[in-house]
Amino acid sequence: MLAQRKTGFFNKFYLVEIIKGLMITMRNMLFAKRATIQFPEERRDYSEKFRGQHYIKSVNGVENCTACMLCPTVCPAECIHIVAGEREDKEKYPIKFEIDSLRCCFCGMCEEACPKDAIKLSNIYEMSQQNRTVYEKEFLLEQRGNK
Amino acid sequence: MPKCTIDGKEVEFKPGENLITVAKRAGVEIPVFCYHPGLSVVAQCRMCYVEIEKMPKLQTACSTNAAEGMVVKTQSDPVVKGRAGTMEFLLLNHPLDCPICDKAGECDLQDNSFGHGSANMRHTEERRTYVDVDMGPVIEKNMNRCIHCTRCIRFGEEVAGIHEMVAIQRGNNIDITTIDGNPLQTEYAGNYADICPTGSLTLRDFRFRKRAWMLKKTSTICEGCSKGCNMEIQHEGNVIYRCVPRENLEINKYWMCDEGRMNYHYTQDEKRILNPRSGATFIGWEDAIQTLKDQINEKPLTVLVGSDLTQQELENILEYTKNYHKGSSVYHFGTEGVFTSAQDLPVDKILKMKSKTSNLNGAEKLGIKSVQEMKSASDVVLVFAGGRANVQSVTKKLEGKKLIGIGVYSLNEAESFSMVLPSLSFTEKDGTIFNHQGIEQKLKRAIQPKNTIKAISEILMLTANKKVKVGAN
Amino acid sequence: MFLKIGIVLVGLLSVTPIMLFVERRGSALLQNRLGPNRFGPQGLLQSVLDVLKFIFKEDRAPGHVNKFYFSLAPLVVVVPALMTFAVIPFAGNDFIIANLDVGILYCFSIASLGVYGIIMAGWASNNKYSLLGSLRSSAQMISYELTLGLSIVGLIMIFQSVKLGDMVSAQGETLFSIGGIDVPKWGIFLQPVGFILFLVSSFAETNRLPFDLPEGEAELIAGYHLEYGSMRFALFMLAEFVSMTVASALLSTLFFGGWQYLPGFSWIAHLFSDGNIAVTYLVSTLLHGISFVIKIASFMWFFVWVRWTLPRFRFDQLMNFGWKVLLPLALLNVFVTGLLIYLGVL
Repeated sequence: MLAQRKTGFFNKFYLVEIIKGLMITMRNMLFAKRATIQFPEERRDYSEKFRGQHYIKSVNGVENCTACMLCPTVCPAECIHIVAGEREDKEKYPIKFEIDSLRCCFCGMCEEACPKDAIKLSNIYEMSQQNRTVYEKEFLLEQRGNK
Repeated sequence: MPKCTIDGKEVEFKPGENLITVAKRAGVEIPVFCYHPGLSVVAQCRMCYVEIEKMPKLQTACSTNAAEGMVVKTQSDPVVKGRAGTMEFLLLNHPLDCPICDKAGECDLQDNSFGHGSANMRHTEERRTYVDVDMGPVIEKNMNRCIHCTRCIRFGEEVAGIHEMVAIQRGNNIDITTIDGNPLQTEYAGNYADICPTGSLTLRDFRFRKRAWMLKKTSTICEGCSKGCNMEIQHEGNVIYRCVPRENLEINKYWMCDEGRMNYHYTQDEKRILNPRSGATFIGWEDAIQTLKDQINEKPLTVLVGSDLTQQELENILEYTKNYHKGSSVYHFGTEGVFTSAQDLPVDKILKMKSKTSNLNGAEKLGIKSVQEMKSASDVVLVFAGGRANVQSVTKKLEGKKLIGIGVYSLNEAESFSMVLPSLSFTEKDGTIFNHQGIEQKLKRAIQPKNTIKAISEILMLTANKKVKVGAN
Repeated sequence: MFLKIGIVLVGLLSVTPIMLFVERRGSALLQNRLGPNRFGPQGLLQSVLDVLKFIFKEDRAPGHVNKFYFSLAPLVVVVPALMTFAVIPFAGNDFIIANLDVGILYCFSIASLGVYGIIMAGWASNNKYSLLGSLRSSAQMISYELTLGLSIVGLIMIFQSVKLGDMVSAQGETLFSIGGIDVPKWGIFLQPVGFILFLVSSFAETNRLPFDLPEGEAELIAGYHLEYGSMRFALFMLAEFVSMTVASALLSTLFFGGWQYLPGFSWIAHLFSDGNIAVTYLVSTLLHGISFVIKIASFMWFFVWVRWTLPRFRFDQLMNFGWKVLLPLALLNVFVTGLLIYLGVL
């Protein structure tokens, strides 16, 4: 049980304290800066380290990814699915590279594990969609990054 | 027994054992590349350096036999330095393509580089590169990754009995290749990929399909022939990706033939029947069992069992026929021309046997007669097969009869059957089999059965029951 | 008569959308936020959307409720809340729907009917949280009604009447004047302790924070209206806002002179009194009404202000406070007032 604080009879009304509290809220209403960010017009500035929407870095139109599967191995949410294949100009490349964006927890471990500097998390945070989104390879290969 | 000391531990040894074997028994791991217990010793890679007291220089543990009173140090400063030097030389020309390489994760070079090598690289010159030769359908070659341990050359000479891999050129230009660049001819080519300590020789069948560390491993027995080679099924997400041999000095030593290695493919083939099939249509289990009951109807039957079934399944079938179809006769079938274990002779001097079914010995042990002795057959014939038994050899004999197949059938095989009830393949069931030597070995379930496949025991139980009620699968 | 009823009903019902807006924007502003400001200028039309949402939402009763009482409960809550206003003069003593002799007592008796609706809702919802909420509500109502009643006994003793009209008229007199500024004989100056007691109890009676235990989200999810949705829930909301209005009206009537002019209004009335009796009457009535509305509005704002400032009571604290602090104080207040009247001070 809580220790009962000793309060005097008149202090039990907390009248003074209540008035102080009311003054605080009124002061906030009149003078304080609004904390709200009016989203479409105003935007929050995020750190350069912010981890947002994924993309696969490519150089001259050839993806850096070699389908080494280190990212699905390290992924704690198991949201990356890769099928590896072979083609003329590249010994090993991902035929299929899917990221289930709803499963992804944006921990950035894939980025860290990647030996080829291929998978990246950009600063883009506006990712809302109307259906369950699996990012396909074509989408991931759009170079939307800043890193 | 003589004794020697390795890292301060006293170990007993048999005369003639080399230091790697003795050290392993003492719990000391000595890194190796070229040494393989199944192959001769060449001491080429210089990775297994150890320091031996009263010897002026470092010695290679693989080529040094243990001797009475020998004092060996495997962790002293000169040894560590020597290994690091060896590692650096081996990696001079080794490409940094572990992300691409299929060996990554089970690669000796990776492990030893991590354990004994340096994290930095001092040389700045360009690495040498090769143009690769076509090695045939089983093996993919990448000479850039080779460290010239010559395990593959020795395997061909000493185990596969065919001298097809050679080292041409010398020094920095050395090239390990086939004679005249011909494709590999041996039927044991898969072992090249297993023994290669780097990703120089890899399996085409497994190429880029999965990374080694993602695979789950189930120890089981190959059912390709009556040899009963020990192997490991490596699978992930209920899909088998490859089979590799396990060490068993009594049966297959360290090796395995390509036929057994690729045998698993039929279990996940598109043409395998995975639902009960009557005529040319697929039906539900309840209908299938009911039809089966109506057709066999407690009459004496001719029952054919494939000698690729496990001992337990054979016993179940025998018990079922004894109790529910009195007067039935049971015959086993398997490979054409091999009807008894006396006829089951080795095909070559390595592993392969004539009987292409695994449990011929076990079927004989249970007193089942061969299909050769079958004089006449009932109208309805039950054919149990585990997938390897040659069904076509029996269906030819029984033309005109109503055949009901239970077991693993492909669509082609099923055409001559009036009904097929799918059952488990060797990757999906537990059980024991007897190999040609009479050694009893255990099959283990590696993956869950697909679709509504039921075990033979369950199908028999459902058939024996008065009322057909198949639970949801 | 019907005109008066019309004015009161329209006024009370339009309070809800206005208060919806004030509550949402006000709460946001008090908490350094902005609140809904997208629809209409400064988000003024937000409450239109809210109302539309309530109207077009599916009216669904869960399967486990007692349908009859479940449907009846919102009405039982709303009707007494609206009825209470009948005896309050809102613009001069002519503008009162029913000038009953029992006056203020009628207010209390009708207002206490509202608790039946809440109990009905809680019981008919057949949900333990709802039932607990309505039980708390009834306990709270009974405890604080005592104080509510006792806190104005002093006023009744002073004004010698329970008719609200008489009380308001009496408050038009001057108590004393300091340097030419007349201090009116408003209830707050006669009964400061009574005012505070009445204020606190009316917060409890209207189930507003810090006394909104019947619907405490943290422990009871939403209390008695947990199972309600769409228009039925809107009726509960309406009842809450209407009873807030009535409480504000009573507070201003009893303690702030009701329809009596606010300071400065008599000067405006003087501007328009050009001898024409009809115009003078019309202007003064209008100004009385405006004064009353301004008084009510400031109390309504006070309700909102308090809601977004103070945290909720714990239930045992609530009961302790009601029975051990407010009730003795109310009794003391009555005694002291009586003593002062006997001594001839008041």
